[in-house]
Amino acid sequence: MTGGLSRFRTAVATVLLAAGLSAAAHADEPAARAALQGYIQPGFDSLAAVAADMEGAAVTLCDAPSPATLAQARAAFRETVLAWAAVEFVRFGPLTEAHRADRLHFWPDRRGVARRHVEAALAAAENDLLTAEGIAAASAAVQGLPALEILLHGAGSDDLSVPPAGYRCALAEAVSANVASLSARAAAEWRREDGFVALLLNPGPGNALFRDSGEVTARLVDIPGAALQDLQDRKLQPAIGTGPGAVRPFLAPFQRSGLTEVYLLAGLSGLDRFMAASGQAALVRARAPDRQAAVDQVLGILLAELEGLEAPLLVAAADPSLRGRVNRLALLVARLRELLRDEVPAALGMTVLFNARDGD
Amino acid sequence: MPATATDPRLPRRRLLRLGGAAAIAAALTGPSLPSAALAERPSLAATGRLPEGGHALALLAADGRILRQAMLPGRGHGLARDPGGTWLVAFARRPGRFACALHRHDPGPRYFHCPPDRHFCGHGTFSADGRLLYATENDYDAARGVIGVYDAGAGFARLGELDSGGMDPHQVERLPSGRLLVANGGIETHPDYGRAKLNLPTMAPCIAVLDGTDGRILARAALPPALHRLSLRHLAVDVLGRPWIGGQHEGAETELPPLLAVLEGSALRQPPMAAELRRRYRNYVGSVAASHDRRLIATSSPRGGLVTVWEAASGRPLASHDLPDGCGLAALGKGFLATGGQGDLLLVGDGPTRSLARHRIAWDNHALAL
Repeated sequence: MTGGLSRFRTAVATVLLAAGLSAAAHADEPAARAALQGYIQPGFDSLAAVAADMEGAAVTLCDAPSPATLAQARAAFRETVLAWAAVEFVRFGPLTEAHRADRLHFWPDRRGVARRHVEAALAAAENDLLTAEGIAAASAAVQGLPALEILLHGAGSDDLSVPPAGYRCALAEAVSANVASLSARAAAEWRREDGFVALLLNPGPGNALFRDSGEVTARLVDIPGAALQDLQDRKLQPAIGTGPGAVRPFLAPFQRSGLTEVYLLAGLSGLDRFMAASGQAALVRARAPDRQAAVDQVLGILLAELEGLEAPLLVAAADPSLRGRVNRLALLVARLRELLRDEVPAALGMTVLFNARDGD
Repeated sequence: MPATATDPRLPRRRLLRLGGAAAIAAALTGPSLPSAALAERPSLAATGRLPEGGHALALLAADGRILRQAMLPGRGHGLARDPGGTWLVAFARRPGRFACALHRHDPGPRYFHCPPDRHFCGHGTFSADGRLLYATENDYDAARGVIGVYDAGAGFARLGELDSGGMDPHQVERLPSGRLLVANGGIETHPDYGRAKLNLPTMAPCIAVLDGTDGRILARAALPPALHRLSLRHLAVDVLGRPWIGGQHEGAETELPPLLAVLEGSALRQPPMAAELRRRYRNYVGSVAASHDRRLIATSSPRGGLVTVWEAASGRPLASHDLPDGCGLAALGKGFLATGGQGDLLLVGDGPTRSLARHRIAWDNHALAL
């Protein structure tokens, strides 16, 4: 796992450099343009690129099944998951249009809907799912990364390395193509200067979403807090439970492929870069230096703790001797959520509304 | 008089055994009550967060003064009163399990709970005879909506439950026919996931009409499949007996569909909502209420910070009023009380608004006329 993490760090450093330069070049631009050019557009471009590679790797695997081509497909899957983690929190505009976020990553999945759907498709060799139109019209649970994970890493996936390629490989190819297509469309929409991008960049009285630049800023500042709430409620807490006896590993994202830790890390470091690129970090540092120092500190410790775990997260969570570290992780996540969801917006003078924020 | 007669923890049955309803009423409104405010009949009720933290159920005079407060163990949500005006019940916000009942003549709050494998969804209504309280609840392990049935005459003991006809039952109201109308929001949640929404790709909101005595589902209505992400959550019945339902859209924020639906017969029809109004509502209706004469309907959007008054018969919006974080609505005078998360109490109608009061209480999503 250590080797995997260091490879991951290299990838992050590269993107970080690119994002940093880009953000610096647009330091005087409004936050939206900085976020867009410094993070969102390159992030979705990366996702589209690695998802296309994933599709290619699946085609190669099915053309020539072997342990080597299976390993390549699994490696491409990993890259796609990491690229996804870095942009999934930008959950507006192109990612929510046509329900792309849900189709790319059907989550949470408390009752194992993706597994049941994939198993049913495998059992019946449903040919409808093998066409681009067929898969795009199917349940969101079979359209994206969780289904692909089951196909590439689930029970029976090692058979993919043995020719001839069967239905399982063909379905993996179809799902990969769908992931690539959804990613490409999202990336393309973020590159167009009309549609959602135009709304984001041109707030005003006639704008359907943003009446002034303050509303745009508020929407951008909402992203990190919402991401942390999501991390706590939908990714971490249900899986680690309340104690070593209450761990439910199958509720952790990308547990089957062993990518849970790197996926969470990629999301957190992506968020860190997003806050830098959008100018949020600089803004908070100028207005409330102690709040930004707290964010930097808690995020830094959280990343270090997550990287430093001596066992996979879910194994540690179930091990009484390591549980303390997992509890500490959960506390850090809760603290970071509080900072980003409540204290940072308050420091920026944004009113945290009682009824509007978390409705019912 | 015996000191125990005013003990708020005593169940009503015990009080009755102590000497008959008339004697008790005399005892409870007599000089042992701590202040004149206690004797003044409240016109409105709402829950809110107190400035020092903590949550309360507040009873208000028609001019916005707070007459009484009862502490709540957590954040409250919807309110229900029986037709005779004996009981007022406030429910916990999702995924809470407490409810707080106030008796008309008894200053002490009584708390009761739903079973541990259910949680309240925040709303409830009484049967026409006032004996039964129906509460929306989530059977979360089965991802199934239920209506818990409680006995108002027996300390709100839970008698059983009915199928709500869909997932995520939110507001339930009694129709003039005595039947129950449930807005099933369609969103799966589970306390293990906090308040996270678990099934947005597949959510299927619907309106169900139930027979409250035997639980039969008499009718169900849904919007066309293209609107399956419009969670149907709040409702009020107009002068023509038609339920007006307010929705919250869980799809892309650029989609801005019309947010209201009116149940006519067995079909849901959407009153026109101009693009500008849809934009201001930000895909979110937080509360729906009818005026005392039920000729006016009010809707609110805390996300957009506005309240709109509609003419029920024509389905036309008459006026919209700004109210920061505004959500709670209740019939008041010829119009409505509107409450805001920043403490505002506003009187709104089809004309200009009037500020009644501003308290240091963050008013919750709902208010009720008593």
